Amino acid sequence: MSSVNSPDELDTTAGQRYILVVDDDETIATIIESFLSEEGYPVVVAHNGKEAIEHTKEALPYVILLDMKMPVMDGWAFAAAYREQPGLHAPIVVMTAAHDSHQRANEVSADGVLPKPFDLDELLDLVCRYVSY
Amino acid sequence: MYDTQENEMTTSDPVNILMVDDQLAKLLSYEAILADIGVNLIRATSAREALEHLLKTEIAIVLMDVSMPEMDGFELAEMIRQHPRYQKTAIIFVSAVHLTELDRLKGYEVGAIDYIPVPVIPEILRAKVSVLADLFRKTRQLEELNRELEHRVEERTAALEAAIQVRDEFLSVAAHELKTPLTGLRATAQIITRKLRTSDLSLPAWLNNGLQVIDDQSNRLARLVGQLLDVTRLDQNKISPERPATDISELVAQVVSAFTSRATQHEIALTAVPQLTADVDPESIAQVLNNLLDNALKYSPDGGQIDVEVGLDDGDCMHISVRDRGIGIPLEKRAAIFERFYQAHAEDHRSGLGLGLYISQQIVAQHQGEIGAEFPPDGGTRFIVRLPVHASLAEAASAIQT
Repeated sequence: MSSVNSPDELDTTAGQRYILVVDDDETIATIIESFLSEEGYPVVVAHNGKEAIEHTKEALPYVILLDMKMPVMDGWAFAAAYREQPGLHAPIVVMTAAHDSHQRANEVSADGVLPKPFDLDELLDLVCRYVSY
Repeated sequence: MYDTQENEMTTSDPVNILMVDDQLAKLLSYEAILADIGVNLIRATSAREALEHLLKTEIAIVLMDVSMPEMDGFELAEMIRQHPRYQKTAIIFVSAVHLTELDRLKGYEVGAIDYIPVPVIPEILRAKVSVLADLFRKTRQLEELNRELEHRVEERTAALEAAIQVRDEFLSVAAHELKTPLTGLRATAQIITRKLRTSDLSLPAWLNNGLQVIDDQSNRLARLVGQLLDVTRLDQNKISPERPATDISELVAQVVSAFTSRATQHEIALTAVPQLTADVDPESIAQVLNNLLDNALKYSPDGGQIDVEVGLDDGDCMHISVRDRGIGIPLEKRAAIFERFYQAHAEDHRSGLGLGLYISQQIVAQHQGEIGAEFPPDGGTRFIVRLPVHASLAEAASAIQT
């Protein structure tokens, strides 16, 4: 595992762009983080909407992979609060185990949806698309 | 016990009899006759006074003289009948002997239910009033029981609706909770597979297969969880009402292409009229085709060709068909295949919940289409889904039917 891309060492204050993974499930967050890191993408993990907001204030993500059901601040509240922020906004991709994943995505006007459980290929395709912007 | 109390309360409530006559002496004589039959007697010496009582009190029976000054009995009866509360009040006329048959008819027309001739025979008056008072009590009891029943039905309905809501919330949470570990499971299996493939180690077949099984099975488990939720959603008509014009040929090609990798023993042959569009919810229709292809694979264990066909029947209707060359469905089981939880081959312990065809049928029905099965003489099964091309026409047609 390359340590350069681990979130602790990623310097978001320097304005480096990153993939923001917002999920309260530690296992899922870690799997996504380590997978994408190894594929060479800078990743930052937030465990709820509030943490995610803090990260977005420091630097613009390439894309936000957003779980919906979370403690402290859920996906809906995060999406609303995030869009209230001034400046540029990263696309939001709703990542949910809910049955009506597309409806969830519509509810927060997301740019994409990744229903759980997903293929890593799907995840990689999606991230690749947004990072190449 | 509760019911008994209700009845007692009802029967102990007084039954009011309104007696209307301009001669007080007559009223007093009626009172004497009716004193001991357990009713409450109210006097009125004029039609006006009678109306005042009627507005204040619930009256079961009106006993009135036909000939009174100012307003006679017929006029009063008509006024009573016009009031919605007194539509069913029993009106008895006390009539003089000189009343003609024509007058009697007039009395019945304005709402009298009985006549008592003068001179009044006490036993007759008592008997008639007693029967009517009893009828009134029974009617009131019935009405109260009815209200109670309606109230209970309302309570039960509310409880049932609440229970359904709890169930749906539970299923939604359960699905979420079940799918989250599956996400971890699948992703981990895939990561290990990737790592081993990119490493220099030569991957033993058993390990490669094992990881593939974990991936496939966790994916399948997720689909089954999804199916369970589909059933509850479909039962409540909670399906996306949007029907965008969709290229069905393209949609079918995509689903078939995704299936080809799973169908190692089968050859899937797709025949489709290009760019055939219909107004459908694309996800639901893709799900129907997935279910049919799932079945085609599952029930043709020895392989063989699977034909998928997309065609136009006429300008308004199109079809998608899936034909396998498998074990087919025994004659006696064909009628039930679209029922919920039904499995034609349950005894073989083939996998599934018996929901695929049920869900498919529900989805197709919500598109105002139909799904059917044919059994070609040379074996296997052919499922045909017929869908209207234009959602608006289909809705209009179904509106006419209903």
